[in-house]
Amino acid sequence: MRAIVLERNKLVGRRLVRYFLSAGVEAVVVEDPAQIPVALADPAVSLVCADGFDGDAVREACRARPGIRGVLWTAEPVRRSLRHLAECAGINHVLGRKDFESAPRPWEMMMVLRRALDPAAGPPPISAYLDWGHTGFEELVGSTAHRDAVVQRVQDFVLGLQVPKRLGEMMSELAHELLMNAMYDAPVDVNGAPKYAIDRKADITLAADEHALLRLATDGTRVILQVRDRFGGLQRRHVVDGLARGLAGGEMDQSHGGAGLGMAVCHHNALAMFFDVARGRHTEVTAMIELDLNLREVRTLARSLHLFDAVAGPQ
Amino acid sequence: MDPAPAPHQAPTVIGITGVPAPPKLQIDKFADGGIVCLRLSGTIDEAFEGKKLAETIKAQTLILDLGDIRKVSSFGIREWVDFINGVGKHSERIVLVECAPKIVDQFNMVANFSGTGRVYSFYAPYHCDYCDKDDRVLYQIDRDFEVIKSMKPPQRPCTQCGEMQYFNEDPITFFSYLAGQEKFDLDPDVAAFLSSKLSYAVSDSARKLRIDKIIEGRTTFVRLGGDLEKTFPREKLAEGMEGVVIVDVAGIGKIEPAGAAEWRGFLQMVTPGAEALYLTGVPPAFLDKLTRPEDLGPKAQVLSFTLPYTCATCSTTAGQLIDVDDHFDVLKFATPPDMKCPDCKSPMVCAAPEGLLTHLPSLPRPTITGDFKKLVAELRARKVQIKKMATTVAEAAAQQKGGSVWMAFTAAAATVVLAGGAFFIYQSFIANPGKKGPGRGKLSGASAEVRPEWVGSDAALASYCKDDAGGGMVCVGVSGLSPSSDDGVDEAGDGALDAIAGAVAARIEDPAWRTRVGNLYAQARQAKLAAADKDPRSAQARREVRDALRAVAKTLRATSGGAVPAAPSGRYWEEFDDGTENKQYIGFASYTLQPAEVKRLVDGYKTPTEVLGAKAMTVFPQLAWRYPELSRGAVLVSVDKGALRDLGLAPSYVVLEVGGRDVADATAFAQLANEEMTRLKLAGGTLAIEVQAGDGDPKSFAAPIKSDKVDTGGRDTGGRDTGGRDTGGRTGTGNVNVWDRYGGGGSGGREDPTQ
Repeated sequence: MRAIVLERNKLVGRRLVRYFLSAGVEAVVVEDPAQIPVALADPAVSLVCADGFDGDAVREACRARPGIRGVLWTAEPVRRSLRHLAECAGINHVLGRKDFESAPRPWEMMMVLRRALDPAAGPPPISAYLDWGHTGFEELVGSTAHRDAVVQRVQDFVLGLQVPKRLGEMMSELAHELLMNAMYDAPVDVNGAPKYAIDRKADITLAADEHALLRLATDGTRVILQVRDRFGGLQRRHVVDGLARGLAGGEMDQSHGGAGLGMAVCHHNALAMFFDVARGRHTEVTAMIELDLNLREVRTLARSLHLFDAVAGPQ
Repeated sequence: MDPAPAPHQAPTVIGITGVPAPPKLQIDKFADGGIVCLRLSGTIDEAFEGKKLAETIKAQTLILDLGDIRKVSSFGIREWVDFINGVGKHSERIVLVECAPKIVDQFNMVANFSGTGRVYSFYAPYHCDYCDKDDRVLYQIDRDFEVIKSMKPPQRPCTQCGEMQYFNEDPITFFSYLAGQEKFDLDPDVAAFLSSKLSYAVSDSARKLRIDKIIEGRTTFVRLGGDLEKTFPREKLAEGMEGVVIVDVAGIGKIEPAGAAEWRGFLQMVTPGAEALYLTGVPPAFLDKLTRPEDLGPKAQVLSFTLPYTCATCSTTAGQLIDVDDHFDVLKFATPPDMKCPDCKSPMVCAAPEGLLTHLPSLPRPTITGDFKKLVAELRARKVQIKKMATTVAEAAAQQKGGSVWMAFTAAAATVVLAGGAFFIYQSFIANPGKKGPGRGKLSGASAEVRPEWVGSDAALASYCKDDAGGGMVCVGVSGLSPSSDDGVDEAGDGALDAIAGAVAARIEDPAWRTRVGNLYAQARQAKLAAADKDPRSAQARREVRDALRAVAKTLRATSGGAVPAAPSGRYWEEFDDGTENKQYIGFASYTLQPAEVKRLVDGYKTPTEVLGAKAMTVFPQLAWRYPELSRGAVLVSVDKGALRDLGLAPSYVVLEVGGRDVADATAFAQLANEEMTRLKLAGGTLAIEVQAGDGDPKSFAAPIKSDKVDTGGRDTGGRDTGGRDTGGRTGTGNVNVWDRYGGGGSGGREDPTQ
């Protein structure tokens, strides 16, 4: 696989080439969007990457060569990159970075590249999001009362890491949001009709095969929260359009379940979100937050958004 | 994994079986007349019944206390928006108070989260790196508007360790919604309700006593609202009060001891001339403190009072008005009468303390007729449009002029180019020049027949400078109302010197100076001036401005190197007669500076001096706005290397002492520091420097310096040992460098968190 990397900062460009080479991807760095069409002439190129600022150039490349996929990175609020995801199905990744002089997180970049090399491999284990060695717990959640207990357990676990109280509350808020989606919105009957979304206030008890699985793990530098359901009904528009609506000022989403606001809440409470969907088999949403940041940094750091498998555009 | 259940095992429910979980959201309701306060604590999620709750709220003013909201889910947001839209239809006003940071996030994120409500106060998250403590600081839209608007929340002393703690959020994001809100004051009735009934923080001005008066035939009805303080105008209020007097004290908030004494004095003054004296709407605190037989005297009687009652069905605690005559037979047994909830008609439980109930039997049975009761009820309900009675001489004068609000001065320093004039005016602070302020009365004398030409504005507490074409300037200060001409002229002189300092600051263009020196005092100066501007009657605010001006003048004289003339070049005062026995004076003073003197001042304050690898500038006089005790010293503008950096000093610290010797200015600092280092390198010992770092007491920084000649083996033996890093004796000194305690300073590896 060969990739075109449009990066105007030479230092960042060199670092990215290193990451790409490490992942087994050959990278050609260009500093001007005008160089992309020339580089695209190489038939081995299948990936075009750039800052969200140059998202138009990446979209143009995707249009020019069907099958090309785009990766963006940004130091700005993710909503500015959302239009590229909304308008171009070939762009499925936005990687947050600290500033324009920084590269995206290496492990995140590597994960995107490795999975691009082997799209059929499916979602990685939770350990892939963490450094070597981690601790945490997982629970199957099957009722409203159990959901509340697990949400509280998430909060207690995170607070046990000696982090600011507000961080613990953020993670529990995130857990609540993801579990609500997995328990109330995801389950459908044999005809594909929602089973519980009609009344999210109701206490429910899920059948054994409908339970949502929550995993929480930490390696001491970051916390990963993952919620998985077995229905695989989440669609790209739920994520991209919902997030766009939610971040545009919280106009009330009229679809069931309140996806716009839910996505916005998740977005505010996580530094990176990974959406893995195998249609009809599973939806797995993974959220990451770093622990060695103060709240101000957590607030201002650019967010990452990743769409894999069925929620991603055509592979 | 920590307790690691196998995947897909049966769920584990955390909690105790059979014990109902506490509600995720607790809602307490307090009511008083048309004001309802809802206090929400916990999580707003799908369980919050927004629409249903909104239907139960009927209030003219709805106050929402959101201080204890910890989490909000997306579905909770929907419910909340339904709630806020619902109550918006039934309430004239919605005020949101003490909003938690989580709620502020929602304001920023969700359109219409506040509905028609306005945010009066909210908590901002702060963090102290020294003790690793998260804190919340309450901001109020009336008091802190400028800070909110500027989106630059200042550092503050930590409530635990006293070191500086910082705003722990992205200010641009956090204040984005709040900064767009207009400034507003709480309505007096709402402020009184919040402060007196629920002990909320509201601004002082909102709690000032208000007096309404209705005269009908031989009946005088007086309505009081606000706090009962020593400023209670008992003589003015008692003047001419005859016949039947009814005083409605329902709006009385806090009662200070001095205010209680004034109230008792008022009753004593009114009693002889009054046929009868009745108190109505007596709140619990008033009932407890001021309705004992000795307080009421021979004529005063309590017609009605309020006691708090709780309705378990509605979860509402509200003050219920109790008619003494109607319930006398119950009250005499120290028993609160049975009451039913006006909303759901369920029986309510009296929540008054036992001590208050035991006082009830001492209330006399009112001797009134049914018609009189009706009259009292009608008067209480009447919306009077009576002018506020003056509580100060100044207000009385203002009322004579139509009751215009006095704007004392504005805080911002501005440069105004006069059209057609070949000079600039640096307005240090100046009011609306057309307004003279309250209470001056009639001009009855002056120190000269004609007002001098150098007097430009006569707005109280104004000060300004005029540049002449040659580079010199004339600076003028105007005093506030003063008891004597000397006091007035002295204060005006201080104001003129502050104007000189302001004009000098305007001429210093060095960005390092602006960052390290100018920024140190700008906010404090603005805050003090704004406080005095906001409440010109506040003695404390006035005193703070006066003290600061005096301190600025003192520092300017001490550090200017003689560039400022010893005495004003012009003095003038005017005498005012407001109809009372006491005359009042406004003073004016001017200083004339030659071009060379102006240049000396600017050069003196802007030129840095090298000191042991750092750069320092002479302390600037206007720093006294923040540090009124300061009259000398040197401000560090950069600490790149050397002994001072090793010691842990940082830019913007004001150096006060080196080795126990006072630092007069930057030059003296360099000299003392070099001398001390030379001495220590010869004999060994501890380099000790005292600095002003942030607000609070000065701090001592100390580190041992080894002799170049003799290695004493670590622990120094000579000089003062103030607890250097290697002695371990720093605990308990109170003035230790906390930064050092955590391993900073010497290693240089940790940034000073106060910067």
